[in-house]
Amino acid sequence: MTKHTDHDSGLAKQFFGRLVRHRLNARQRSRKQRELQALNRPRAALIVGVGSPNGIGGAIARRAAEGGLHVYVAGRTADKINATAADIGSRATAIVVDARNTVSIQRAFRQIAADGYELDLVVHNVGTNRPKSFMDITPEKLESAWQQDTASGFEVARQALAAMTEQGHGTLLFTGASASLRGKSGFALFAQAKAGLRMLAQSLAREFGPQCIHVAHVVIDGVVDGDRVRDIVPGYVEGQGEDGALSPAAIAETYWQLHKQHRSVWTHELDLRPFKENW
Amino acid sequence: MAKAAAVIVGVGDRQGIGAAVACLAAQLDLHVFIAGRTEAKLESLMVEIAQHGGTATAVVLDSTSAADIERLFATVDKTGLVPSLVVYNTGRNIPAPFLESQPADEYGHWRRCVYGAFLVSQQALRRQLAQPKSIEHRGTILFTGASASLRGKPMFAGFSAAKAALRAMAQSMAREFGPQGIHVGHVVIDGVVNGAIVRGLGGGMGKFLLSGKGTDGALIPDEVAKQFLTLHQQPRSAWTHELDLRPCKEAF
Repeated sequence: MTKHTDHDSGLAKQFFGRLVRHRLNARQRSRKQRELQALNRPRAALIVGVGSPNGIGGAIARRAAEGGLHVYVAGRTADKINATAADIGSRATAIVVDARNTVSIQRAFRQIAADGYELDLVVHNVGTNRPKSFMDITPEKLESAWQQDTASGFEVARQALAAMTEQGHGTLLFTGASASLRGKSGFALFAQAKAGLRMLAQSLAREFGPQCIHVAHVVIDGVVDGDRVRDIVPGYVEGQGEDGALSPAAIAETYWQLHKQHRSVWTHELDLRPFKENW
Repeated sequence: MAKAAAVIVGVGDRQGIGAAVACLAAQLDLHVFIAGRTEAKLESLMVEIAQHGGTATAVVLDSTSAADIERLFATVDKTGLVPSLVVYNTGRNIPAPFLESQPADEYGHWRRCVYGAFLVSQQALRRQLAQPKSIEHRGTILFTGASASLRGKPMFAGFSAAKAALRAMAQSMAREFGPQGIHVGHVVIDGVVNGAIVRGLGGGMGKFLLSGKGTDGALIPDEVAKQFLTLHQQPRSAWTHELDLRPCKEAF
């Protein structure tokens, strides 16, 4: 037998250790599940990655509020999310969350638990698509794209699933993009982060589906008719013609329908594009 | 013309993909730079390559350190050779129940699979693209992928996310640099590799994994290496970007 370095030989031990811990924690969670169900708590949704009301995050928040959930609207810019929450009304609470900061994400989940809500729906809607030629990417940019778009997904999922496995139900949705499925020229930075997020979602769907938690990934394959595009590239949305850009309200309706699916017919991945999109 | 060079990052035990690719490249008359974490493993590989009449340079490094990768390519530059074949072959497939996995684990996967690949790719491209445009095939960059590059299985969230990210990056690079004469390939290893890592897994796991597979049920590193070199030798009118490799009896 050849000699092995430490990082090789410790792997099996580490794996089995975690498996045992996982079993023990699962037992605790199922005890907690019975206690929580007895409480009959009000229900809430958390949307991470909300800017103005006229974006995907804002539209999902509105739809979830209409659907009867209390909505936590989480985003980086206090002014924007306060406006979005005010726009929705008394069913919405704004929380400042910086997706790059795990502590900030954890704080949001703690607040929801402290407010006494059961978490029905969590949406991770984070990502910034900026093309950049490969040789112009710096190591720092690569890492910050991963931290913001993908590592935030890991942390949101970790917190959401910890709560949902205790509840015994819940829906976790991720916003994907064309780049989740395809690395186009000039999009290495964004594609690596989005493809990573997609695989996270897929792995979680397989691990947590049997525990009655619905994990789904929505591929937005086109330009969204939101404030971001209207601000950055004026005239672009108009150039796409009537309904040539995805309407946030229409996207939000699909997210809501995913959440409402009966568990005997769950979708894991769904693509959305305008009827005239070239793809 | 001077001999061309191959740079293989992620070389460990001889019974592994990195070392197998290095040995084969040396036999095909490339000067091979072998880079890995463990000096002893690189040294014994140097001996084997020399015995077969090849030439090699060993560089001990951490593939996720920008300074180390710079040092590796500075070593290449000193020889005056162009790194025409560059292989990035690292990653550690460690399953973990998601709720027991830590941000540091996931970050580690990303550093090993994506960040290191990015550092190596930029260094390699700088040198390959510096060659005259008249050269039709200016270089090859190959990445080792896994089943997890295409599919997120339970307990593999961290590893899959990192491998899928690498795949997307490779795809984007292929589209950007193919027209400039750089062949970027992604090799999906869809099965257990019959190498030192799996054999050495403690707790009986290695034996269990391999014995369950039967004869030729696990990928043989030397055979995998032949596929890597075949990609490098493809004429540019018929380039493969993604190639999947699995044993005949693997269920997929």
